[in-house]
Amino acid sequence: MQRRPTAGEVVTILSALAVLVGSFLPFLQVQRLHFTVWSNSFGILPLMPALVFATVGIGFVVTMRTFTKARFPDRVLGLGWEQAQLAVAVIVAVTTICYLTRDPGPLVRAAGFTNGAGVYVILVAAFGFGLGALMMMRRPHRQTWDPWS
Amino acid sequence: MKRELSSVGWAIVTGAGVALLGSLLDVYGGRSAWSQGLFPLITLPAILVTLLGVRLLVSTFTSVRFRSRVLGFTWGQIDAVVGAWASLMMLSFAGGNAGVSAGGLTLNPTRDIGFWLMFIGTAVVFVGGLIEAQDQADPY
Repeated sequence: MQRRPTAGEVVTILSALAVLVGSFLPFLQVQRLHFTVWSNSFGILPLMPALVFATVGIGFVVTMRTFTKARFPDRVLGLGWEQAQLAVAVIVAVTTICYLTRDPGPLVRAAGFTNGAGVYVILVAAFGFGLGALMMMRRPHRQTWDPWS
Repeated sequence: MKRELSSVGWAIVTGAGVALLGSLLDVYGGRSAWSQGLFPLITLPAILVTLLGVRLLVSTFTSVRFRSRVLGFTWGQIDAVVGAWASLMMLSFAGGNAGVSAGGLTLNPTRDIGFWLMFIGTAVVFVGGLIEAQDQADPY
């Protein structure tokens, strides 16, 4: 029988999707020029794409474990899956905060440098991703997510 | 009882010191990692590995004792994850463009000696963290 996803799994999957969507939104803007996570400028690429891949990869594994009978190793690189998820969430959040708080200097600022919506979406999603990991770590009290109850 | 740092521990502390030193030298276009425009993004790898090194020194040479686990992570796992994070950042900065590419025009500041010291220092911490994590791994 197919089991229903737990609240932690739903938060994790939605957060991973939000990170993926955020990666296609403007990350930084200079006047009318938009730079996404996939732009090779301002030190964004390949660091942020690697973090997006890690987030989406773990989200994919959680999705497969939730909705299919696919089996994965219990540990990844010496960490449990929830630990790896929490580590990735912290890394994405702190790295994004560094992009967000970076002062580009008076010249670049005068040229119209601003943070785009993507950086905020990814930051919020990273917090959700971490929250999902913490919720899943408390598995003994498994709580099933049912929006209709 | 006198406590001593293992050779892996010394490697981590030395790597952290090299990365911190590099961050204070010229990193990009004659500017240190602590300069406007580079702080805190380029500085972060040096800060991360320095925190690891300080934690290792404090736990070894002072009476301060840390909890054996933080959020389920052993210190070996934390060292490995943070080392991997710092190394990934430096590897990305080595391969990517810190300047801007738009409209066929590319402005990329040169990487200076400080950058490469940070690169080497974080790589040493990463490898040391991996070895430490394996040594602390629970065989059961």
